Amino acid sequence: MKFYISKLLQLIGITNVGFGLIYGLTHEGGLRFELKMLIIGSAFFLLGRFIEGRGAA
Amino acid sequence: MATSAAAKTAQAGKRIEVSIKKAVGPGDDKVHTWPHLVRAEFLCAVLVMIGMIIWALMLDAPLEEPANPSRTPNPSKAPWYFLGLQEMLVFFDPWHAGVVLPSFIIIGLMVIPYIDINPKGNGYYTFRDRKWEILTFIFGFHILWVSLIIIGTLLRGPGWNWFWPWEKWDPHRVEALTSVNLPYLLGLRDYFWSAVFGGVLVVVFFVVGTIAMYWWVIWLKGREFMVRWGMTRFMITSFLFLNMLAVLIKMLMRHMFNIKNIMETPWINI
Repeated sequence: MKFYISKLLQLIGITNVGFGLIYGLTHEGGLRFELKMLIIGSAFFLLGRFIEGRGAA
Repeated sequence: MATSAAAKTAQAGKRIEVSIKKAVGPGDDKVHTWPHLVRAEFLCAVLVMIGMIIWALMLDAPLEEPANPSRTPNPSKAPWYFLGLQEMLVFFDPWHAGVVLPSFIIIGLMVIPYIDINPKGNGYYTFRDRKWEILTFIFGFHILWVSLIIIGTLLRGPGWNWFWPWEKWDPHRVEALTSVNLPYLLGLRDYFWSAVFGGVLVVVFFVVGTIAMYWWVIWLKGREFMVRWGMTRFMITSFLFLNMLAVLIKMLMRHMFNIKNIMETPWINI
């Protein structure tokens, strides 16, 4: 279960970054929102990676 | 003024209309790679990564049991992407199949920007304007690389014998090794003269091939093109192309006439 939760968190993180990129493609303006999404996404991903741990699931 | 109005609209979270400006100077109709292109590429990478994670979660890797030295698999195959190289070992010495030919591939890919002087096809897709360039790539990649991987993966069974898809992979099948060298097939029995004859054949292939390619290019593209292309570019292209052709010829000679080597010496075989 821990494995799937960690993978889900990692997916949420990557999706966050993707959402930021789509927003950047479809909206004018600076990169502020994209960077925000990047930081939040990275936090989710790293949390998932931390929970996953090392070794076999 | 226009910029601040655009920024205000963007802040309000609405799509804005950007007035179309006619390009007057060089570069006016271009945008920066970052973020306009890299953003889209990164988005593709993110989508692929999401797909790969979901795929990897749903599908187990086809891993076998830990390697056992007392029970080695037959056939013993490299990873699929190296099976083209492994297949080439049937036809060439390891130094040639494993070192020389891969080096030629890498060198050939590196020199493409220097030997290709055809400016057409930049920024758009075309076959008609780059027919010979694309056909050479198809010959090198699809015939000399991908097809060998397909053969190595699907048609080579136990003992690295050739098995058609409808044949059973019989580990006890023994095939007679009846291949002979080309000089032997032509009646030469002396080792020294066989080696000399084979060496002369290899040299003649490259000399005649280069001359033939020279006239072919002139007939195809005109003398003016050859002057523009230059002798250095032509010689490099010709050498690499003739090597590609030689690989195919040697493989066909083995498959069709059971010929092992063209030149055989105690040191190197070609």
